[in-house]
Amino acid sequence: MSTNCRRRLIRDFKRLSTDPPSGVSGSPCPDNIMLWNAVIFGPADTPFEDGTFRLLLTFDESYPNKPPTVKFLSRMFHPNVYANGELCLDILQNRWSPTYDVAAILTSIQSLLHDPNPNSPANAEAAQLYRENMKEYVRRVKETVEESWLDPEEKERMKQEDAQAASQ
Amino acid sequence: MESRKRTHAEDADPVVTKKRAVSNGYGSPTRVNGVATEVDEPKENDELESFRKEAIFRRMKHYSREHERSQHRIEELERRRNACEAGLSAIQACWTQLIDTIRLLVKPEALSSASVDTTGLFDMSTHVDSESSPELEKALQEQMNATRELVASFVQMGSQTRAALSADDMYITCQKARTECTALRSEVQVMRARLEDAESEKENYHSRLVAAENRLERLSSRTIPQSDSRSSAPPEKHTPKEEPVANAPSPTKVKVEDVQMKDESDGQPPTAQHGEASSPTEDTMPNGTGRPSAEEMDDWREIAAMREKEIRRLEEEITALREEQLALAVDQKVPSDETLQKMPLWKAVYQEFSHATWQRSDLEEQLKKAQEEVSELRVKLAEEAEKGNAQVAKIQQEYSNVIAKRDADLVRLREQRDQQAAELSERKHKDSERVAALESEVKRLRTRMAASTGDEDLVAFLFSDESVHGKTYVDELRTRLEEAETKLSALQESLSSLNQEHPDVAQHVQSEAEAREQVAQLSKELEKYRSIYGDASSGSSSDSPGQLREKEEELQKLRLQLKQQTQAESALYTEVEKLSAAWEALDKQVKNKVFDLSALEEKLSRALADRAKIENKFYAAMRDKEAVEFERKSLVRNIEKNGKSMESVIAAEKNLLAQVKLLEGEQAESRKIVQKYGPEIHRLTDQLKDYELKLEAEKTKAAQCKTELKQILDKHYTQQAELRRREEAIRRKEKEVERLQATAQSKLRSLSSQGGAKGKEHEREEELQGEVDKLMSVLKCSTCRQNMRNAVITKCMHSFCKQCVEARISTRQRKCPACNLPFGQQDVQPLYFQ
Repeated sequence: MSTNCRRRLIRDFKRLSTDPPSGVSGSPCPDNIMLWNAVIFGPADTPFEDGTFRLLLTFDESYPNKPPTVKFLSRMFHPNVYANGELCLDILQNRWSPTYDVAAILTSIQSLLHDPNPNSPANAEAAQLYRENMKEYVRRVKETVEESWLDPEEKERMKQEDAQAASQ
Repeated sequence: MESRKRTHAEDADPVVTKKRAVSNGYGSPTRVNGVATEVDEPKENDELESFRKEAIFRRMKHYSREHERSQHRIEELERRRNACEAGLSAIQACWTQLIDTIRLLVKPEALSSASVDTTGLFDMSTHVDSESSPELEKALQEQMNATRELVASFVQMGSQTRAALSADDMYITCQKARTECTALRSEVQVMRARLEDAESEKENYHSRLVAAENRLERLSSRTIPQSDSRSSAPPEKHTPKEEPVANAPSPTKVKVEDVQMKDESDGQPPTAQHGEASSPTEDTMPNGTGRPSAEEMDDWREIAAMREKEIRRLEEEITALREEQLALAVDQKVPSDETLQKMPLWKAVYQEFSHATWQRSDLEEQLKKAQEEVSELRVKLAEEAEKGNAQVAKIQQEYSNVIAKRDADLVRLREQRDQQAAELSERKHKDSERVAALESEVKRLRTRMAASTGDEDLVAFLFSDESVHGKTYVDELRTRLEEAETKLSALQESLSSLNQEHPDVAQHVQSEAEAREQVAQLSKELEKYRSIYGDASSGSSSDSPGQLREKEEELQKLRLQLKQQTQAESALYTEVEKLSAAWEALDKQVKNKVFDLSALEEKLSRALADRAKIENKFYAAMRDKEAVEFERKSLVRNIEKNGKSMESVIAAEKNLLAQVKLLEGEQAESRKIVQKYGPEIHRLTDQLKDYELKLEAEKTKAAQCKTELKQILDKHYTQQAELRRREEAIRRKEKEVERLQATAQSKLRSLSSQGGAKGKEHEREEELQGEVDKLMSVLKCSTCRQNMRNAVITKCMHSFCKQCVEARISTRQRKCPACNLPFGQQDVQPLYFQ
């Protein structure tokens, strides 16, 4: 079954693999083309440097006329990212245009990382720290960067170890 | 986990990266092809994993560097702490020595309870760590107080024995010490500010250093360029050649970092160094390829030498500037007396002092003036009050005298008037009595006269009515006559009537009446005769001569009596005349009296007018008196006011005196403080010397550091030069490669034109295919990237495929996908490529 949507997604994937933008990568799930996994590498010379942030993109049949749903799987500390990983980006909402493709979405999110908009905060604490206490903000972001290097199962294991250490 | 990673990082640092780079360099081309052609999923994960590992490794390295730095810092702080403790012990020794000498000089019993426990301090300072510094401070404070007391008592004793210690000298020395102290303090503040600046700068540099290190690590890593530039045509060529270049700076970086740790305080060198250090790292990014040929090396060397020269020149300039700065700092640290005197603070204090003294003298003068004025005013006031009182008393006296005189006059006049009135009434009374007496005498005489005449009726009349005089008597007689006449007439009437009725009778009667009249006449004549001659019928002619004689005698007697009576009457007339004369005299007298009285009354009215005038005068005088009284009162009030103002002036004077005393006390206190501060200033100068010694030590250290820095910089410069050389060589090589390529292509063309190799053609075909793809993407719809553009929105002239535009219309999103401009169904037109 190849609808417009799927054909467009296949083209997007082709373009992403032949001409990938720097610092992002993404691919659809092997069994479902409407579900994509993506990784954004933290841009250099920012607090997010070296971070590998995983995202999940969910498309529906109205794509490209409607934007996909984008969600961070890694824990983020960013003024425009909600605690559940959803993010507040205009081109994913009212400024969406069908000319955008997956590469454009990912590049926009990458640029959002080091250029947040604290005026429409999704994470009030992060926005406040970004405005008033840059040092603490950087520290918190670095924590999330270090956390992003771990796989989910590894993270679980570490948590258990920590709990054991604490109990001892 | 951390320890595990770190061990890995330490031993793997220089060797492993190189190996990896080399292996990558050979292995990569196949991989790139694989990325492009093979299935993505496993490859992607592998790359992600390796990137993560690299990132963790780099982070660990970063942490280890930070750790090293911290260790350095701890060591240094330890050293500094030791130095501080040594200094503290030195100060302690000095202190104890000073106190011992004072104790030696002063008799122990003379010292008050200022017991000084100096031993505890050093012990405490050794134990105290930085957290409990308040304790140390407290101990120091106690020490200082105790010592100060001791020294103060000592100095007092000294001043007791020799008071000739001139205060001026003391004051001058104190002033000097104070200015020195303030100068030192300000210097300390300046130093502190500079230290803060330096620290912030250091922080800044530290962060920049960390960033640069991270960047270096990233550059030296292999995964990032992969992830960054997979699309750019030959990314694998860069990595092997980059490695040696990128590896070379890392040891120098570590050294630079050390130097920075030492050179925290002077800010300038790191900037220059860092600015230069950052440029090569940036330059390493676009690395060239190949090595310079032997011929071109000379050119490059020349260029490098030139640049080096320039760098040296700049460096010299920097050192010169630094020396200048140091000289300026020394100037600032040791200010001369003149500069101190030029200091605005000193000037301000001096001005204030002079101003205060001037003000004080001014106030004293004012006080004196005020006192004089007050005494003058007092004297004047007393004089005026006396004068006023005297005047008032005089005027009062005068007016009271006048009033008394007038009162006396008035009383006298009143008495006179009363007297005269009394006299008048008395006289009036007397006269009336006399008149009454005379009138009664007149009446008496009349009655007598009447009696003497024998008129009984008259007498009776006179007795009956005393008040009625002769006239009334005549009237009565007339009335009687009238009565008789009326009777007569009535009788005649009746007679006539009778006559008329009976003329005979009337005639008879008339004749009878005539007869009767004759009878009556005759009887009368008879009577008359009888009265003269007695009763002729009864008397004898003998008796008649006797009686006649008797009667004659009696007549004689009566005539005599009459004479006597007339004489008496004349006597009475004379008496009456006399009395009337007297009366007239009296009347005159009365009239005179009346005149006198009116005159007196006039006098009295005059006197009353006078009195009124005098009373007016009196009231005027009273008013004057009141006015004078009022004036007097106001004067009294003025006096009181003046007294009050005088009191206030006196109070002010007292206040001023108290202030003067207070100021004197303050002066004495300040002198005492000066005396007290003497030793402290000595101590401070000692400290200053210590600090100077330390500063010199620091300076030597800094000089060492600088030499080290210079060495490092030299190394750095050489490396940089090498880097540039290499870079330029790479560029050259690139150009050469291009040239070679061009020549190769021309050769190839010539070959192909001659029907050359097929492999080259294949390449060309691929190239052409790519171009075709690009052009196709331009022609295809930008929304679905599938169909050709065959519809145009005439509003904005953006073109898409028909399906996509229809989808936009059907989903009610009637906005251009490219520019978001709203459009209608009628704006869509078919597009033809013709």
